[in-house]
Amino acid sequence: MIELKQVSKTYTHAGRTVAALRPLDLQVERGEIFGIIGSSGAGKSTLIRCVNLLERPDGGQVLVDGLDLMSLPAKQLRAARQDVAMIFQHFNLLNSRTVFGNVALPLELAGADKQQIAEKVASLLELVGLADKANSYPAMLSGGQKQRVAIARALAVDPKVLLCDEATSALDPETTSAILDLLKRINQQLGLTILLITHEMDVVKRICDKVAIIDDGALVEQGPVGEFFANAKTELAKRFIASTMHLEVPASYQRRLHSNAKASSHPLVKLSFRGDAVDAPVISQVARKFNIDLSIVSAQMDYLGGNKFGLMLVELSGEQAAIQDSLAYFEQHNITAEVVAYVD
Amino acid sequence: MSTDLFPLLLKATWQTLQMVGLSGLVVALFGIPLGFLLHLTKAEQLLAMPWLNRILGTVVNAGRSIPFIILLVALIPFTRFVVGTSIGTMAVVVPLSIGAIPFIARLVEGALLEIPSGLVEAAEAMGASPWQTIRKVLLPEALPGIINSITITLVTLVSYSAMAGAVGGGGLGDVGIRYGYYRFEPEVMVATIVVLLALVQLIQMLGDALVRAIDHR
Repeated sequence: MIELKQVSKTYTHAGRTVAALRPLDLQVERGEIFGIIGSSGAGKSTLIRCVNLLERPDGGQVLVDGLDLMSLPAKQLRAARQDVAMIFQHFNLLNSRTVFGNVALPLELAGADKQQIAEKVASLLELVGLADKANSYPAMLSGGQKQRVAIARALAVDPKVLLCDEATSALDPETTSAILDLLKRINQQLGLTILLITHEMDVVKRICDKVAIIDDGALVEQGPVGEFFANAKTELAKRFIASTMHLEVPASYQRRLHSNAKASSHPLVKLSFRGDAVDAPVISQVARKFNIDLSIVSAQMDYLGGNKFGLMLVELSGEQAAIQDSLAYFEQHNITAEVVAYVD
Repeated sequence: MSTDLFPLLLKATWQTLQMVGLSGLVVALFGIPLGFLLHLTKAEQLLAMPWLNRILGTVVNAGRSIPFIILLVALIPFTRFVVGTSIGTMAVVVPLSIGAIPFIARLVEGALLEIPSGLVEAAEAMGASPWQTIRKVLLPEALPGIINSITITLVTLVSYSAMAGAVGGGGLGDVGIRYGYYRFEPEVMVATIVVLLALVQLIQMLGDALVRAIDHR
């Protein structure tokens, strides 16, 4: 549905040339939610703005549903843009128009008549749950409501693609979650292809089918979300994944940790369950097989794309040799085991 | 007391209203579009034409740097060309308009600058043409600011029009100077000031009320 071929973009600022996008390829299939994650300044915003040519790439091709946007003259590009809707971090609603008026705007631009507009807007406001706010002005709405209006507006002319430029970054976690649910629902109900950029791995984890990491203007790693979480190769990808895991060690426990082994101490082991970890009850098997005790300090498990993924901090106590054997046993079952500290 | 105050003030007020009203109309008609051009021809804007922007900017600055009393006199040949005469109330409308067009243009430019660039971008992403963006996004979004600009300009025109006496234009300022100053009739001076004060107050109040009614920010 969206295809970028060797798209590149450089900026010249004060005589210095900065590569915002190095020649990169991207393919987003029909009906999927594709997330691009990156830190600020990595080029993700430039990338998404290249898809509807808000930024015109210096080189390469941008294809949306097979149509080469960069080859289109201004008038046809405007028509093509109706197929590529966009929502923004700061909503970009018109303060001078009511909710109804805002959602009606793209229909007016496309030349729809009053009757069509009234029907379409009503059904869209129903879809995003704001039917009762039709006559309110944006200034009276909360951030989440504003983004819902923006989503309704984006859907007004039945686009093929929805671009989300940090659409939840200005919202609190609860609202973020509701907006993401709405996007997922729209994706499923309307079969709408969604390309989103974000700096939050939680967004990717929650709704994306595929993900790509962008760093310094290049896509460094991409794939289905489950696989990505399971087999992240680059350091950056691992860092983003770690950012979604919230392993907390209580302060009182923290004080008992040492970096060196002593005769009386037990190892604290971080177990990383990857997507290909078997479903076997490895923890209890280890306990029985090697006669050691496992005490779970902290754990988080997620299921992504049908794969189990998670982190666990466990304190192992038992014979020195048995502990070594159990660590090896974890590794055999595709669970990375790493001694992170020793507990008194 | 040698002057019959009431008919004098009435006539002068009518002249001032004529001058301000007519020039206000001309100023809005030419100055608001000029303000849009000033904004839109900047690099990175909708109708980016940096060379035109530079020319417009220079012309507007030139217009704004000439003191009105000098403009009034300097424009006499042009005024004669446009209205057929260079004296009288109608003749003052020409320099008033020329003097205030650059003024309102800068104010309108400022009002447009306040619109977040994201709105224009959103319109562009929707497939709006530049003209559609101007008509459906910029104009309605800037309307409160534009009305405010008109209010400020009208008040400025009231004060400019006080110099109209220099070319026989009459009006409140003229009466104040001729009767109040030259003939030393302080009560006439005070009376014109009171009327001017009331006029400016009224313009500002109407402008503010209008802005309040349409502003949903």
